Amino acid sequence: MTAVTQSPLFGIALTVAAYSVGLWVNRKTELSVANPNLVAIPLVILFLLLTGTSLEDYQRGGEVVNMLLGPATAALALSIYRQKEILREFFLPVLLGCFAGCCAAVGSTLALCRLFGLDETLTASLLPKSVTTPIAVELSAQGGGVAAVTIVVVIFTGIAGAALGPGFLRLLGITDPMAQGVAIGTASHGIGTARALELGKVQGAMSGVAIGVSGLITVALITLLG
Amino acid sequence: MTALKQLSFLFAVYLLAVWLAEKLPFAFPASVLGMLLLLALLFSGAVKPRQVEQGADLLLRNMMFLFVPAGVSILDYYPLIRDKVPQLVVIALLTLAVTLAVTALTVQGVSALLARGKGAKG
Repeated sequence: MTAVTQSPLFGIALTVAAYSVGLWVNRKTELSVANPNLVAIPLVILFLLLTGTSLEDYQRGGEVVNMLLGPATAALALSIYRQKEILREFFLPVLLGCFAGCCAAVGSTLALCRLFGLDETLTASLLPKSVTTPIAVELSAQGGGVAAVTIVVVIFTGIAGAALGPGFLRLLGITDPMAQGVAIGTASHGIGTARALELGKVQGAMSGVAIGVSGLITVALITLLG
Repeated sequence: MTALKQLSFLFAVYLLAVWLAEKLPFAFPASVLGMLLLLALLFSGAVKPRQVEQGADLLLRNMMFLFVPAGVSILDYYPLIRDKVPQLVVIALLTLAVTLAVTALTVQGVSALLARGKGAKG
């Protein structure tokens, strides 16, 4: 068995299989909050524990998958570029909204981490929690955080934003579709955007634009802080 | 083959960013630098969207899949957060509420100001 589990192909195949199950559950339930990773990650862990396969063996393949994250993050440039028209048209409200939101996100996270007495490693893992996963993971690593913790918190934030965001904004009396979209994209990235699309076209588009803009602003903020 | 060529181009952009990031006087994530490089190439017109989109979309569409292995590593780090789960949940929810409120109110405020400015001019 070791010859099998020690091949990088094993980790890759297991990841694809678990993610396919995650996608299937996501489609069957038709819920934007049923995140494929929330199914895939525990599924891989369960498999490793039940078969007694070591994390080290799994990560031989996992690292190959992980290696593609760098180029994938670079590819985000294309999704930002595709939104240039909408960004040009609503430049000031989007830019200022994202800027204020990112300052609020990073500032309130830092304040609460201090309040709860969390150590530097956890604080660095949490600081970028509102932005899209590829950027969050990089910022976390740069500050001495743990990628795995960041990923779990980023996904949790996205799901919470998708589930509670629209209701919370309604409670605040926010009726402007652009304000709703930018807020959901800034606070809960791609998972929130899937939900924003259900609210309406404007909300979805604005949420999508906010992912890229807020990602870049947060990089600047955290780089300056560090 | 087109998608493979475009993927390799993205790898090259990323590797160039890794090299540049090492030269920078401050810490900056290489992959984000790669994104800025590609953004500059696209906005300057040096690279056309169709020259990268097959490779880029392959990565973008499967972005979340790429995070599964890093997420699985939580197995090793669980002791780090075991006693902190309630705090983490409280932090995530409170900061979510603050971020949503501040962003939405700012966008609404700026839009209202711009509309008033336009009204005064017209």
